This record gives sequence, structure tokens and C-alpha cells, in this order.
Amino acid sequence: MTLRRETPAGMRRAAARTALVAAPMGESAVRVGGATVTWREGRVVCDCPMGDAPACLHRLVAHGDERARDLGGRAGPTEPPPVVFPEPSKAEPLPAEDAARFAPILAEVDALMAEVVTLGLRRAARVSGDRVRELAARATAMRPRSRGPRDAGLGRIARALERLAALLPALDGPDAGAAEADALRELAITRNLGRALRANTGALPLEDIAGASQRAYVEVPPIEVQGLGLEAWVAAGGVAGVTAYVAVLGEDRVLARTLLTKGKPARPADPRAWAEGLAAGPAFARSGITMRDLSRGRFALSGARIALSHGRLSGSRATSVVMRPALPLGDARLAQHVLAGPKDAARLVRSLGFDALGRPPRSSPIVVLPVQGLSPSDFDHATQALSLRMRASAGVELRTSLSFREERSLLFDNLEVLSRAARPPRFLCVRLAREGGALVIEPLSAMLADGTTLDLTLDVVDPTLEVTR
Amino acid sequence: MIAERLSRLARAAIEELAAAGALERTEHRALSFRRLAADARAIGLFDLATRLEAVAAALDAQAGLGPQPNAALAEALLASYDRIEALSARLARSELLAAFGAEDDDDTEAP
Repeated sequence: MTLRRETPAGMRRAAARTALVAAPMGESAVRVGGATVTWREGRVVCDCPMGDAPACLHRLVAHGDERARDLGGRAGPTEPPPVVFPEPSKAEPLPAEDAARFAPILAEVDALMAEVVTLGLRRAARVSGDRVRELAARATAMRPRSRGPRDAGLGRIARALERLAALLPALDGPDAGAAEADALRELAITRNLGRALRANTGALPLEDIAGASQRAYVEVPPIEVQGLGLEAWVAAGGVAGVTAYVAVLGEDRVLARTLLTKGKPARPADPRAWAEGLAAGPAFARSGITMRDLSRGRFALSGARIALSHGRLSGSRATSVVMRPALPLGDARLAQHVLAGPKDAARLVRSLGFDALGRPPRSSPIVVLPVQGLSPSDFDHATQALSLRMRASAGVELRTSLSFREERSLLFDNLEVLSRAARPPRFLCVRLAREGGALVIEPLSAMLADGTTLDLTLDVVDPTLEVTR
Repeated sequence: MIAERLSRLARAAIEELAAAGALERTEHRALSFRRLAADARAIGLFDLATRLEAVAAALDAQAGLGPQPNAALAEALLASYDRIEALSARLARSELLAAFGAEDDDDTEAP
């Protein structure tokens, strides 16, 4: 396929910006706007007035669809297309010049850690907040030298300190316990980053320990994704957003596409007040595909941009999107993302690892759990935790306990209704995580027996589902 | 003591010390960390035991430092936290594998 090489740059830019999408018309044709693009004997033909030219806008729009079709053909009709992602950054040492200019700040960071731990986070929240912010700003200012490695900065330490600074005010709030645990985690990450920078063994990519910038999105080959679930969330410090999770077909990778609120929501505990607008927002610029669409449908993406080290999907306008029929969550093409048996558990359990440097996982720890039954949930007022038992398959019962937080109140209400419903959901989209060190299986979305999907952190589960037991 | 209980108790002690600081109840806290270190040693978690013992020693030294920042305490406490996080991750993996009847071949001590 040489369409890209033959196409003027201006036309490619227009194709990237266009709102046109390719609608399938049988096996070998798609409708793009008012034109029909057909594949004939390995050639792409368009019936528009530019049909005789080497390329046209309609063929470019259809191109993503066609590339995905090629890949699917090679792999066979039921196999997902093979995907080869670019290699992550290579390990390299920090140049001596950078190690020398970072040393004074690292020494100050150590002194700050000693002060905060000795005083305790509760006191430090009152007396050390300014120093934390000041050091974060100075670390941020340590940008890479013009001729130095791209990631030879102190961005990772700066961001850990910024997160710590954002958590300190919450130590006086209603969720002080959770904020203390999060702040301790940031202290530990800051300490470990400082040690790794000083050790400077060259065993890790600089992106992992230094990291000048958060934005490291790279374009990947055409991929096909299937939505698994949608989550509304509020992070410590008040940042809130909605994330759609999509499985990359043919890869054991789940990507996250996130939209954030502009500023902190006034009522973070009521996601219906701020999250619905984000869920209806564009998953990709000018695509017409909403975040909720992305979280439920199947799409062929061309020109997708991904932060490989974070597993995040960009909403870049350069990404063209072609809708496909959604896969049922029990489809064989999603097998790598389903937790149904011992082999799945052995594979998916890797997401529960601990990373001392606080590096985000390359794949979101989101899995599909086939459900045979749910036991009525139980809320313990003493521990403020909701217990839930899920029967995943014959003889396999999973227990989980979720700690109450204000922003989880809708999720708790929904789980209390859903776990008492006459018919259990067929599938749950769950996050595998640890809370207070313990395994947590957190349901995010539920697919009911009638095919309805409920996003448990946004939607209100119909109370008529409830039955008395 | 089983690893799950030790993990919970040690995490609670570490979080409590991090939140409250080392300027009060120092002797009592040092004693708690020594007990936890002994428990960790008793079940073969020697690396964790060493880190917890170092927290206790740093707390002992705090009396001589007064309100001065204690770099050894920060180092020992945050290193203990890392060991507990690694142990918790291992236990969480084991729990999920056990639920599905899968074998857990990770019998190493938390790094």
C-alpha cells in the first residue's frame, strides 16, 4: 500500500482533521461522505471526481480501515491483528555533568525527607508545605541540557514532590487516613528516585528515574481496541476525571483514555454532576466518538498515539477511528483480558507487582471477570468497608473489601443494589489492585444478562433490580 | 505469626510513625518496632527484620537529637515501607492465585 507516500502533506493533514468516517458497505467497500471507496485486486478505488488521482481524502479516511483489514486477513478471520509496539526507552547512565548539577537538590530532598519523617506528616503539613513546593519548583526547573539526553532532568522527583504537596492539605480532611498512606508512598518514591539517581548504575532508562517530561506519546501501528469499561474518579488533591479502558486486541495490554475536569469539581462526591459531561466528551478530537462509546465499542485506530510507559492513549486529532461491531466480552479475541481460570490468574497476577520507583504500569490492571453469582454486599460501619463475594466459576469465589471514601458513595450504592439483583451480571469489568496492602477487586462496569452495560461509578443502577433476600 | 498478620501490623506501625513523627512516645514506638522485627525474624523474613530493627535503633537515637531531623530514621522507615509493600504485593498475588487454585512459585523473601 503506497497511498501515504503518494499523498500530498496538505491532504494528509486534511484527512487527520476531517470529521468524515468510513461506514462499511459489504466486504470490500466503505462509504466515506458522498463517495464510495472500493478495494479491487489490491487497489483502492474511489468514485469521487478525484478518483483518477493517486490519492483523495476519501481513500485516506478509508485507509485506516483498509490497513486493519489487511492485518486481519493475514492473521485469519478469528485472530486479532498482530501488533508490534515500539520498543521502550533504552537503559543509559546519567552523564556526570548532570549528576553533578542534580547533587545539591538531591541533598536538599534528603534533608526534607528527614524533616518530614521526624516531625511526622501531620505536623509537616503545617510547617513544611512551602519547602516541599519550593523544592518541587526547583526540581522542575532542572531541565535537560541542550546537548544532554532528552530525559536528563528531575521531572520524576518534581512530580512526586508536587503530589506530596497536593496531599498535605488533605491530612486535615475527612479522608486523612487515605491521604497519609498516599503521602507516605510519595515520600518513599522520592527517596528511591534520589537513591537511583545517585547510584546511577545505567541499568534503567533515564525516563524511569529522571524523566524530564510527562508527555512521551508515540505513534503506534494500526491497532484494534475493544472497550472494557468506564470509570469516574477523584484523585487525592481533588483532580477528577473519567477514564475509558480499552483492550488492545492481540496484545495483553489495556490502554486508558482520560478526560479531566477543568479545575476541581464543586461536588466531587456526586460524579453525576461532573462526570456525565466528560463521558459524553470526545474520545478523539473530531472523531464523533464519545468516551462512553470508546468504553463499550470496538474500533480500528490508525495513527493512535500512546504513552508506552504509562499505557495511556492520546486523543490526538491525528488518530483516525473506524467503528467495528462490538465484541461480546466472552469473545475469544478478548481471552487475554479475561480472568476465568488458573492460567488467567497466573498471567494477570503480574499487575499486582510493587514498583519502588512508582512507575505506572504499561497496561492498566483492568480485567473482565465472568460472573455466575454475587452474594449480597455487607457494609461494616466499624471499618467503613463494603465486603463483596463474587462467584467467578464453579468452586471459585472471590472476596473483596472496598474502603469507603466520599467519592465512592455512588459505587457503593450501586454494588449494594447489583449484588441483590434477581439475576447477576454476566461480566464485571474490574480493577485488580491493593488497598492497605490487601488484594482488592474493584468492579467498575457491569454487563447485565440483557446486554445492558452499567458504569458503576457514573450510572445509577435501577433500584428495581433489587430483590429481598 | 503468619506473614499476612505481620504485614498488617508492620504497615500500621510504619504508617502511624510516618503520620505522627518521632518526637513523642519514642521509647514505646521503638519497642513496638523491635517486637515486629523479632516476629519477622521468627518467620524467616530477615531483610524486613533488619529494616524494622533499624527503625527501632533510629528511634532510640532520637532522644539524643531532640527535635533535629533524623536522616537515619527517614532512611530506615522508608526502606521498611518498601519491604512491606513488596511483601503485600506478594501476598496479594498469592491470594488471587489461591482463589483460582493456581500454584504460586514465588517463594522468595520480599526484595
